[in-house]
Amino acid sequence: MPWPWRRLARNRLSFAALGAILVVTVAALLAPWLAPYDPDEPDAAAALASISVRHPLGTDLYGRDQLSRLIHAGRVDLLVALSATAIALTLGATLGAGAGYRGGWVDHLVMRGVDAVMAFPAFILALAITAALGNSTANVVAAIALTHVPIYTRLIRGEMLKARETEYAEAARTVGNRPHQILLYHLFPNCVPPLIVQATLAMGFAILTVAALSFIGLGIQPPQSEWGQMTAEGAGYVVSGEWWLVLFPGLAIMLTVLAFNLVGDTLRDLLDPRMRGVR
Amino acid sequence: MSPRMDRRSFLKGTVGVAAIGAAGVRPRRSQAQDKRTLVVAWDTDIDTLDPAHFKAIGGYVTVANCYDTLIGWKVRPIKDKPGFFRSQPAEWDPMIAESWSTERDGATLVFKIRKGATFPSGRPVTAHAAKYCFDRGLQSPGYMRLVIPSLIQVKSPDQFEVRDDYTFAIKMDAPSPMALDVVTLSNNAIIDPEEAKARATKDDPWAGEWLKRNVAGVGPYHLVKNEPGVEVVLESTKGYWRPEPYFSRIVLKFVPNEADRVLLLKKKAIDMVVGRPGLSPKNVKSLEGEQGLRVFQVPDTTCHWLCMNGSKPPFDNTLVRQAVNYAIPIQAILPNVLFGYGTQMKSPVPHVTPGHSGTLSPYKHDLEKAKALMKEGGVKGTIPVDLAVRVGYTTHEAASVWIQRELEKIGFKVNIVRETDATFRQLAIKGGHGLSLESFQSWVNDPWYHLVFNFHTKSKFTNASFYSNPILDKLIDESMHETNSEKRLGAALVAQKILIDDAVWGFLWYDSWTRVMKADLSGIEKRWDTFERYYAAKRT
Amino acid sequence: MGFGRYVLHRLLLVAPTLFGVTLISFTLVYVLPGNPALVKAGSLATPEHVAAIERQMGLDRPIHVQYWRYLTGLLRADLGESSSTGRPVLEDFRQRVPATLELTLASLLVAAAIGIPLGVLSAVHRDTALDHASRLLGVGGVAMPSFWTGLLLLYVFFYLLGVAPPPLGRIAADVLPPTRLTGLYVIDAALTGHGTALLSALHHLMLPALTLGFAVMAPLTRMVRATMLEILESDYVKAAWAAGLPRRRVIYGDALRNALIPVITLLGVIFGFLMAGNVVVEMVFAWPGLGHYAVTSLVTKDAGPIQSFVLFVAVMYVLVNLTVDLLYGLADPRIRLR
Repeated sequence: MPWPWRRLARNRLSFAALGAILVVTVAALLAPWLAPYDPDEPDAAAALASISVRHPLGTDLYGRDQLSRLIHAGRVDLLVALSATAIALTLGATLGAGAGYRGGWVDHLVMRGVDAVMAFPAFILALAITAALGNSTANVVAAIALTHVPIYTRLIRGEMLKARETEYAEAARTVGNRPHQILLYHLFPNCVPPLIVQATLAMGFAILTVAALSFIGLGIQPPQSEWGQMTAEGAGYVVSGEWWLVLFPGLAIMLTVLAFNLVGDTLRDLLDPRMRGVR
Repeated sequence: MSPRMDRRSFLKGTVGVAAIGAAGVRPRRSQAQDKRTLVVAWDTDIDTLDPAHFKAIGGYVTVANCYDTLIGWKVRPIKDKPGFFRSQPAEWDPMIAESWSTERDGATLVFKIRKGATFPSGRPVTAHAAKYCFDRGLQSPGYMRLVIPSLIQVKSPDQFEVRDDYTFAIKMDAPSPMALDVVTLSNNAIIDPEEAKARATKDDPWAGEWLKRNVAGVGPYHLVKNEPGVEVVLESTKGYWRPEPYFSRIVLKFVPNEADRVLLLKKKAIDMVVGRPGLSPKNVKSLEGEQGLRVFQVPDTTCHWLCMNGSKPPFDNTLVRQAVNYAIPIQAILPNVLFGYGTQMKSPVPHVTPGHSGTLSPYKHDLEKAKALMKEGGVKGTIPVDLAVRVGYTTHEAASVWIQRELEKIGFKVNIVRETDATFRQLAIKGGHGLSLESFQSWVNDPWYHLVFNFHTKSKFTNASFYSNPILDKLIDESMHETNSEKRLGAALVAQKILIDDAVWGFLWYDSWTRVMKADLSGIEKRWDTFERYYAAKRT
Repeated sequence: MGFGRYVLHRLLLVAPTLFGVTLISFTLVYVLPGNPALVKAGSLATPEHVAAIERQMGLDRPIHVQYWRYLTGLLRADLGESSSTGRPVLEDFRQRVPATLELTLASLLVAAAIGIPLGVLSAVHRDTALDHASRLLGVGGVAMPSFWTGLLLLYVFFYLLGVAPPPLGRIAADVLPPTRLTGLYVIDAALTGHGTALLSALHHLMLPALTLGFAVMAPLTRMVRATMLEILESDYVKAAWAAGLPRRRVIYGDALRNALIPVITLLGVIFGFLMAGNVVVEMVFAWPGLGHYAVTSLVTKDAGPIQSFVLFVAVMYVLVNLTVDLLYGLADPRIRLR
């Protein structure tokens, strides 16, 4: 049976992915110390230089070191993705729990709201919200968070509905636990695994969204660097051959998102066998 | 293998072959491009064709080529730049008006309308059309409604007179040295009154909605195609009152990315790039030596300055404003941001405008002096301030970084904020900016035109610094219509001294107008409003 | 329930969603900073003039009245006006939809033509190098931002190899576009026999379609592979083999047909990817479609187009999902029981 062999291989890949996430996080945290140059410092003499020992990832139009900018940009991407995911999770879980527990018109209202939000492709909605609220980092976080809320709402509500019907909850109620306690102590542990899986996968989407928003000019504004925005700055140079400005930021995005996806997939396999599809 | 699989691989195969085939074959040039077609790349759309309104560049260029005015700015050849022409101050050519004269010591302008000019509808152009256009300018919503009363002192449509079918007169309250320039503005284009009146409604008596989308004037070209985001096509008009232009077709292609515009020029796939500025100074510089291309540059009247909001702290303090002027690294900005296509601003009045003085300004980059002035101004601690810059204005974005670094050395904490054109203008009008990078071009090349719009207290929309000085206001009011040239220019010196001493602007630079084009083009003309008119253009 | 009832049931569910969609798109523009009346009147207008335009646009009315005006306007197909083109948004849409449609169709073709066979072969030849490669592509493809893919393709095929055209739109600068019949250059050029235009349009369609197609290919391949595997493991397939039917015929006949049915459910997901991808790919290649229009409107805060674009996308998304539900209900009666 090829099964154990594949599982081992995937676990190796997942370990590598976990390692990658760790590297990116540490680099983001230690950015000011890790980056060899000041990311905003122009150096007209070294403008648009290709990769070299002095500048391992090259320089841009103003002579700014791309490696340093990449590291600092990683902070923004991770921070935005993390905050957006955390906010979406908290908000979504609360809404879902409330809707699932209360039922009735509360449930209907929340689910119709969720339907309305899910009627838009997430990116388009994030686009529109950022345009409406303005281009600050906080607004980008809010926009991405808003588009992710439905996922968690549905998830938690589903778990809540299921758990309400189990005898466990029945039993707890007859013993005399207050409903509030039932929620916290008996139902949530079941919700945590799928939440973790979903949140990990959502990190990848969040990074792709903030990168795409910044690429088209609606997300993080210069001089703050961000991977998608760096790619946008480099885009104009592709037709004249300065490839390094586009390759490295995009690679950073891809590897980070890939890492989150791989870890998320593995977590899904390990924590929640019910969710596992045919691999 | 099952047929289904065969079909699939067959499909894959054909797509692949087609792709490779398409890649290898270079499309033949169709008759779209021939010598008599001028292909231009820009990054703007036509938002409105109504002459009386402010417009995007796309609108202005189209109106400039499709609508004649009564008179036009004359151009002269430029020494050692063969094929290029520019305007000198106070020189005009007859257009719809074949001659003009004055009465009442210059307070009345009389225009003789030429016979033989016809509108596209076939109706002749008469003095009645001229009156309609000026009436419309004065009364319909638009830019002229403000300009006509203040600049040429006409307050009522009765002052626009039809003396006979081919004589049109403007009776100003008093002589105005700027009058002929104002008449020349493309905003005062001659419109076919019958066409416009036929589309007037109760809510829209001046046919604004119709003129927004349609051209109803006499011009060397007419609009054949307007596909926003793709291209605009103009074709020469049959039966135009002047000889046919060399280029029978102008194709203005929408190319939003500057890198692509540069590429098109290098591949000689287009003739020229236009826009404001169309190409950033860096790219113009990089094309200087390119085979088969020519770079045309000429000093221009567009002013760029660091706008300080004088209506609130900290920039209501003159000493702080002066300090800022000593912190501006203009000697670094000129080579690094403008690549030499600009001139240091020594006065609020542009250097090619009559009355300009370049010797009154003491400001230069001197951080010690700047810090001393800040101290003298009573500034304690670090002042946080937002510097607003418009998205897409590459020179402004680059300059803002240089300015930010210097200002932070003298006690500011500068946060650069990028805004879209619309947001920027709305905030500026409301007084919402502390620091911003502004630009302005006076299409009437007269110091008082420039000064009234930028510095008079009553110029709410254009006085971006909110500067209010009753002495200057009085000087402007008196000198605007001063006909004695010596007094007029002398007073301009006084005004400049006041403004420089008060450090109203953070002085930056005046643009050089640049165009990059194929080397075989000639007949390129630079007039005061900088909008290209292709009538005289040709290939050598 | 019968299919008719199922359709009705689904339609009824869609109605409140559409209502919610109009609410959201209205709110978005209501919240937009700036005064649309001021933009329309021009920055030099008098306050009275701006007020008059505000009255005309109904901006002085309470929010629920404005929403009602917006809804009734929608029913009259009045989508507002664009301040950068000066035209009704509906007209701008009509001009730009064909460009996006052409790109979308071409991308779907690319995705299906490469993705489906890849998924099938991957399932059939499980655990071989091909399988691993295709799964890597699938996992990697989802992680690649589509603007990056496009830019990389541009670098390789345009700058290095010189095979692709410069990213300037749908057709070469010196080629006349074909007469507009459908608005899709490839079809129009083919129908009118305009050879140069056909080749140029295909040439320009190449990279954008590849980019967008690649973005969509990953989920497609994965799903085809997954369902194919499931079917190959199923009892009925094993029975067919045991009964002596030729292996190939079973795989590429019934198994494939059954595997493609669940792919229908992916259409909704794919549509979401496509719309997001369109926006980005159109920017990279300066493709004059809806996505490009939306981005320029969003950046300039042009209210009418933003509102209409968001609404349009949402309505299309709802309709696509509805169609998917209906098709699936048609194909698989068990679904209707839910």
